[in-house]
Amino acid sequence: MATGVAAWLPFARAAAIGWMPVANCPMPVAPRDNSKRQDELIMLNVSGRRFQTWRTTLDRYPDTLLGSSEKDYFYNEDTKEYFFDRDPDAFRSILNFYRTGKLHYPRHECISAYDEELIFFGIIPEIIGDCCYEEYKDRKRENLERLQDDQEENKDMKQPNMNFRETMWRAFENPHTSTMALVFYYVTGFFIAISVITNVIETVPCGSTANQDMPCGERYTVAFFCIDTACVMIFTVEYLMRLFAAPSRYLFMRSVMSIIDVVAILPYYIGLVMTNNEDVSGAFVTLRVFRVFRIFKFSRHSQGLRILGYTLKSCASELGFLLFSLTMAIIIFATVMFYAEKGSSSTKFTSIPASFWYTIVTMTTLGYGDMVPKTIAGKIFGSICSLSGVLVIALPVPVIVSNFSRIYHQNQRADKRRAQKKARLSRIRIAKSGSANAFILSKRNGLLNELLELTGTEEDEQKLTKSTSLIESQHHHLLHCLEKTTAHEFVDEHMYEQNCLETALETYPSRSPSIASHDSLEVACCGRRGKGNTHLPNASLPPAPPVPTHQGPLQELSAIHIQCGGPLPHTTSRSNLNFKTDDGSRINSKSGRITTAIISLPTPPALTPDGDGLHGPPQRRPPPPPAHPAAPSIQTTTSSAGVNIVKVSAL
Amino acid sequence: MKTKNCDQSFSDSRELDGSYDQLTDSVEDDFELSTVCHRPESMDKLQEQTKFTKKELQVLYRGFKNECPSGAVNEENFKTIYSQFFPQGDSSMYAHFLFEAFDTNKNGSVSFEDFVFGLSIILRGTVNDRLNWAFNLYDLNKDGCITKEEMLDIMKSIYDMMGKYTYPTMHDEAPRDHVESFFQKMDQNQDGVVTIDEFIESCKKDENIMQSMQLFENVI
Repeated sequence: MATGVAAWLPFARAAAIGWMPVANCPMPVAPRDNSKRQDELIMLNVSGRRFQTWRTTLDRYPDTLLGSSEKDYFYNEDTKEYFFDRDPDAFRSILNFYRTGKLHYPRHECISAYDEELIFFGIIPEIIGDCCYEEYKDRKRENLERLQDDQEENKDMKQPNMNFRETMWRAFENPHTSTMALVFYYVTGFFIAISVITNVIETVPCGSTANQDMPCGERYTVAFFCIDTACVMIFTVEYLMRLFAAPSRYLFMRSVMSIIDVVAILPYYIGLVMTNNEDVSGAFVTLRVFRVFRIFKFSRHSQGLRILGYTLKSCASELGFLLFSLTMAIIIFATVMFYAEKGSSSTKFTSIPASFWYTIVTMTTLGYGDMVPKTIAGKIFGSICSLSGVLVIALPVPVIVSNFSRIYHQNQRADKRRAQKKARLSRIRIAKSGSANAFILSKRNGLLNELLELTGTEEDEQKLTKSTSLIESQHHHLLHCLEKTTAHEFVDEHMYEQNCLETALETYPSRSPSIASHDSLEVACCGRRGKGNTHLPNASLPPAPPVPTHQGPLQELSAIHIQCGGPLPHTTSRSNLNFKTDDGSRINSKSGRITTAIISLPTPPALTPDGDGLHGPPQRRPPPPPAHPAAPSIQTTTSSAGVNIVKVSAL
Repeated sequence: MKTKNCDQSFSDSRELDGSYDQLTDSVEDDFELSTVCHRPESMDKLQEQTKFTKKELQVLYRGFKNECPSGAVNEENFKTIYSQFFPQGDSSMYAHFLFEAFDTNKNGSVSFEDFVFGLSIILRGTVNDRLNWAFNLYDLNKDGCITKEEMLDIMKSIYDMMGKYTYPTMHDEAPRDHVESFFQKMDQNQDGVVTIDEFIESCKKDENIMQSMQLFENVI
């Protein structure tokens, strides 16, 4: 509707007076404006900046937040204004939309922030005015590309359930994923180079025999044949392997790279078949030319080459224009030169097509000199030809260059993003794990607090009491409820891997705390935990007197718990894990004595026995065997796990 | 020098559009017209001259100035604004007639005063006033009587606003037939024209028309 000119609606209705006398039937009843509100000023307070506008201005767009009754949710009775806790700068353009009917996109705004504001206020971004629409779309596309890049990177990560075929395909497409893939990549590159070099050397005359120079190819036929065969073998095997591994064989066969592969190896096979037939040996020789296409196989290995190819493809229209204009100019000048030189004797310009060669050579400023005009007219036109040649070629070239530059920079940006991706992901991961760890820490602190209540010393308790905000405590309570519901507990990742380890290695011969280093062990049950969480953040550690971790009391511990061994398997395991945590991380450095105290308790108050073990909901682990020895392991602090679960000991 | 260059670039793009004529001065003329600013008379005076209250004048002026920041509407603008209310059909002819009716001093633009005077008559005037105004609208050459040709133009412009997609389908003779029935009703002495007195008399006799005139009470 004409909401932009809503103010003129009374005029349009008044203008209908022209229809009344003409109408033959009575007019319908007019709608009554029952809410006879006077037009009033509405105050909008956006993060402190006040905007005021007429109510009718906002009513123009009733399907947005400000135009509908949804804004009542933001009404503040005390100050009689509508309060929005949003960005006031972005709000300016939104309010202007109501006023003028056109939505503008301020160039300095971040595109995602702006989109969020639009969505919040119920305005669809498609109505951005023409003046700003292009800019908006460009920025939006860039943003989408960035997000897509991220997603693709995630896809790159190895999924746990990839079968052999998918693994192979992934290895082919991204050589950096595994060593085998890298080796394969370099080997094929090497053989491509060898093949191309032998093709070239084949034609070099090496050594003069009795009568004439023979190209090396004919002198050392066998050697070259062997090299060629070897290369073709490798290429064939590679092609077949790719074909096998491709997720969609049909698509793969249609892709450019595979066509290049086929063209590179076909001549050899055709040659094998056709050696005997004399008639087609000429064609056979031509086929050898196609061997040079092997050099295009390098484009799998070189990103720059791919960019070049892509640029040419995307500049197809400019190239077409260049070609067309050149053709036009060539024809014109060839005709002119032919007729100009027609008079002179023994001229090389025998026909117009013969003059094409001269025109091309001149326009591209090559100037071989095999054909030169002799008449004055011919020379004049020849000079005009060379001058215009420069112009015609110089015009589309900057377009192609700028296209190439744009694509190249895009690629560079993508590379940069990929390089920074690791840092970015680890940042995100740390942030995520920070919140999870906070819960586990606070659990521990809560228990420690209770213990301290039992054991005394006010000061320690005060030191340990971390001031958690209300939100945090509520969040922790929520996680706690979840633990209770599922009868499992959140555990630290290191603990979890250790448990995995222990369940895998069922036998524990020694009972002494053998310091087994589990650094390199990736147990099957834990899956491949490639990249992962770092050590538990120590930042939120409550201040406490550091207690050096010593082996003595721990040994005692192990002795103690082994005695209590059988009947309380879970306690055992819990204390065991606890014990491990003490050893492994500095966080529990203070809690040497507390650990002991914990064991002395019948059951830890907050944790009812859970049969299965001590893992957060996503993990299930078989119950630990009752009497595994204390194995104070040195944690690998930077084990990389693909899954983002933070587990810590139960206590 | 700078302005010359940017004018030049302006003209180049216009030339490429296919016309190879020299750049006329029309571009500058347009700029000139739009920079002319027109200020209406004070609200008190307008309030005396029209039948609107101050608040109503405020609302009207705000709407008016929103669409025409320069203070006066030219015919193009007027047509654009009016066409936004009738997206399906072509309202340009009727808008043209309206413009002629509103532009009482015939200077090619409708100022706020003209606008408000017209609206005051239509919305707040007596029935006679309204009928007078309607007659003025129909009488294209302002000679005091409506001929069949004038009425036909008006009728066509009204039917044009309907557009193509109507039910039942519009056939070409519809305006003409309507004009015939109109003259049947209005032209009492059957002389082929409708004078103002015939018009007012016939309208007052027609119940439907009288009832329709009441519609304008509540527009503002």
